[in-house]
Amino acid sequence: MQEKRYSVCPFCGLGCGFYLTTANGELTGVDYAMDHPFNEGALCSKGNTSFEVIQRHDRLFEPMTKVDNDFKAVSWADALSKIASRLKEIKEKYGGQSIGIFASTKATNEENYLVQKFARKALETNNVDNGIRLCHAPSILVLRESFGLPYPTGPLEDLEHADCILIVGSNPFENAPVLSRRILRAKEKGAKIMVVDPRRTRTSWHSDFHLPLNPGTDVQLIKAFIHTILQSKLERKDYLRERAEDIGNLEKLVTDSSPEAVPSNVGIETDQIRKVALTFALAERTSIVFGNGLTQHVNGTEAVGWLVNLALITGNIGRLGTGIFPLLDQCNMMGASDMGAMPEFLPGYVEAEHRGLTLVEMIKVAHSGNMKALFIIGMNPAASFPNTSFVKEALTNLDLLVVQDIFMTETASAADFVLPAACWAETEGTFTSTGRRVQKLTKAVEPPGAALEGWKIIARLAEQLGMGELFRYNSWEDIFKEIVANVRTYRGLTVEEVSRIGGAIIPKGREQLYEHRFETENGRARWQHRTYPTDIKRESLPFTLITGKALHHHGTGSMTRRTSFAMQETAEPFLEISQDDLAALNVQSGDEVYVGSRLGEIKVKTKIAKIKPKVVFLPFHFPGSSPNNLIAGNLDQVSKTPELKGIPVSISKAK
Amino acid sequence: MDLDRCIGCKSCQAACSREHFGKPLVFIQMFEEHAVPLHCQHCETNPCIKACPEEAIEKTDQGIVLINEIKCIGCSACIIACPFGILQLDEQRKVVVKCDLCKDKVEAGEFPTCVKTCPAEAAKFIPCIGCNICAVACPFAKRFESFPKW
Amino acid sequence: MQDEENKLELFHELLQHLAQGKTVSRRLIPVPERLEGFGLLEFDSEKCVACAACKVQCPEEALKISETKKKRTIALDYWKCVACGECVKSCPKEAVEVKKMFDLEAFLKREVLKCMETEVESCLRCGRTIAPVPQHLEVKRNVSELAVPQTYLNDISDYCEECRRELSALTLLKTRRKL
Repeated sequence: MQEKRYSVCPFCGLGCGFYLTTANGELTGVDYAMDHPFNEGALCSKGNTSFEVIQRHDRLFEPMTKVDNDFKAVSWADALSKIASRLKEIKEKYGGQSIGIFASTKATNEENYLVQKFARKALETNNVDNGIRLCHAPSILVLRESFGLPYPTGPLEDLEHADCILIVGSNPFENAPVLSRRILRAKEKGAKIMVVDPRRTRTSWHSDFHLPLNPGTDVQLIKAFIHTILQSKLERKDYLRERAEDIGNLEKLVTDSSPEAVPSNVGIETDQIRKVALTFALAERTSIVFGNGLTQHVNGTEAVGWLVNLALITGNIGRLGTGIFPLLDQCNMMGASDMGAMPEFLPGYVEAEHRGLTLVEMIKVAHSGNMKALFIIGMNPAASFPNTSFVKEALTNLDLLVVQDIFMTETASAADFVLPAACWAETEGTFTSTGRRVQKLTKAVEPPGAALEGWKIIARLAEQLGMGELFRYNSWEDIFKEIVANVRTYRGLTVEEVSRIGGAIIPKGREQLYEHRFETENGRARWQHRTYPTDIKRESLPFTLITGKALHHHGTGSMTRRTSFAMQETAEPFLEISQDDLAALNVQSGDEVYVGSRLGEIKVKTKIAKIKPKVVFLPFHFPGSSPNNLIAGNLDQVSKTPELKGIPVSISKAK
Repeated sequence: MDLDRCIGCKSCQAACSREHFGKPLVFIQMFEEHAVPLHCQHCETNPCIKACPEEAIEKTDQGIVLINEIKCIGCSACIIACPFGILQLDEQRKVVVKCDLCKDKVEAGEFPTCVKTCPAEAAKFIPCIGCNICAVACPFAKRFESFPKW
Repeated sequence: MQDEENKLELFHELLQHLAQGKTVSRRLIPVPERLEGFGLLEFDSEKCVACAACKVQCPEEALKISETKKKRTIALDYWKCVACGECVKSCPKEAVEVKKMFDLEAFLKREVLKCMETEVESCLRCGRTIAPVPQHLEVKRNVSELAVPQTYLNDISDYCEECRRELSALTLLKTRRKL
């Protein structure tokens, strides 16, 4: 008997709904949720093959502990009591600040809510953070500062009503293909699509304007847009008078960034800059979509800030078809942050009194010996963080490393305790998409062996630490009700609402935000004035490396490298490089090269591509040839997000 | 197939291969900055049916061209005959395969899998609107009748 | 079990024939009707169009196709053949027979026996094989009965299926004025 269970895709942040089909407790495939309000049934190649990951033979299925460098199976009772006593010991000796938790952007809201509760109540620490730190921490911080809420300002579906869409540092047509549907509908109605990206991507193929800027120069480019708009007097004066704070010295901050002055830095011609800026400002409804290409720089917070200024100055917040949309790229990155799995925020973005350490900071402190224990959930820092060898050293330094995951990863293999978790199809709970949709997952199959649902693991651990009464939950619904009561933007949600196909958009009843007022104290939007120093010291190596995703793959590849289609199409990494650069290196497309920085060297096959001269692109789904081995990961001072793009490297032909 | 919409994401191939024994029955022809999906056109005039020595290819009442896998001997005559080159020999299963328009789903009133899954709405299942583009592209220069086609 | 019995039976027959001097030649030994699993394929080169359906259907992967730019050769790895007759059943031209003979020399030397060789039509664009000439001629003859335009007949003569896909796709793009 074939059955189908409604689920939400575990990969990117769009939150596409679909059905998992099962027969006799085994997963058989996928079916389509044609009446889902966002994806309308559509599903990309990742979603289509997602079910293959679930019942693989190499799933973690029993708790394990390291004995003489080898993993030995233990019971849950054993594992949890040992972990609890070690944590207790460490906390008593060194204090809560010597312990940290990495919360998972792939775990449910319910699990994440308990994880941060555990950190704060049981361990008395604010050292809890989630993967948003690596990509969109700048986005949520800036949006919250300027508008009051850290969210994309409109529903993603409304992109199809825009007259103009500016896509910066993002490649949705390859990495979040279902979003292309809305963008192409807009285009069919005459919308102009503009893409800012150093390389040609499928997204840029469909664009009207492609601006291949030099990596890391987004701030100058956006300032040049604003300069043009102010010079042409196209700012929306009425809107700004009513809705924004005084513009202050913003004009002065862009004086040096005229479209004539920036080209040598940005690598785009004056005419192009003007044309795009004017098209943007003259359109009735403009939306901005942005991603890691903008944020993963040492001045990511500054960059997001200027993008926000651009949206504001043209009056493009609060109306249908307008808005600014960060594309969070994990299925529950939004939810993990909403739940307060962050060192600076309690649930609902209430500011914590004493902020804890962020992800990379925790690794740094572990490396220096002052972080004694880490509990890493559904995350693979030994592959996804910059400076891989540094991370591996840091992990070895710890007195206690507990890793909870669904597969043995590079990080899990360094652990003292490995805890097997149920994956998204084996649990009940909610995900919050980047479009602010809270959707309930339905359990489709049983987890393998002794693997447990994440929220149960943390509740049991809390009990071992004497916190039982605070973690007494019978089901995900109990936790959900506590979330609804405690997290401001989740207020009023019901189990029934989130269980529908498409769930519910939060804040309830407010799909379009800021229609009449912003959520700031005085209801006005705040400008972003942050200006970072421009003289950042970098190695003078001839090439600039940018990183990103390959079609069909996701994250560190631990899931997609286990699916048939992704591996048939792209089984190995490739370095995208321009034709001229290949010729100068005396290399043919397909030959291997060494890519090196002061941190090390990797060997990888080349692939000819339309990319800016002296810029190269490498996806990070393949450990072994991962760009993360080469990246130091300097942190943005405000968001503490590491710089993962725009890295100086050298390239040489491999024998 | 709406060529203005195809983004070359190959979601259709991932879905089609899942539904058809691990082999995608739709091709995505990549050109420099364009992607063209190609699959059985379920033509009006059928050289594949004519070429088959075993009469293993039939046409349903709805116009879907289907390979009878019991009769098929894998001789590849149809592969030679098809002007679009969309038939493939599946050596493992010892038959020739091609897009079957997800016949079982279509007969149950659903869309073919690729149409359901296409993120960019490039795969459509709509009644013929008589735009005659097929006549221009068709090697037989014949116009299609208006039964459900893409 | 049947396998073991068959082998013993054959061995017995073989020795009997050798002893009684009943071999047709030093090489070929008649195989009694009741014995299964042993035989020798015979291809009628007048009828065979080298379509390779026999190779596709062979459950033992005994039949092999080798191709150069000019020729297609169908060969039999005699060691693997179990004379099951799938090739006979599948041949659309009834060009294959299984003779009840055992080729002792081929068996001992584990020979690969040539069954059929023809020329091939090559793709104008990429040089790959389109089809063996006799099969190609037959397909063309058959489809011509449909009153198809010459351009189509040229297309299937000149291009392999990969090139046809590319060319069709290009035509579609040009029609949409995208190129």
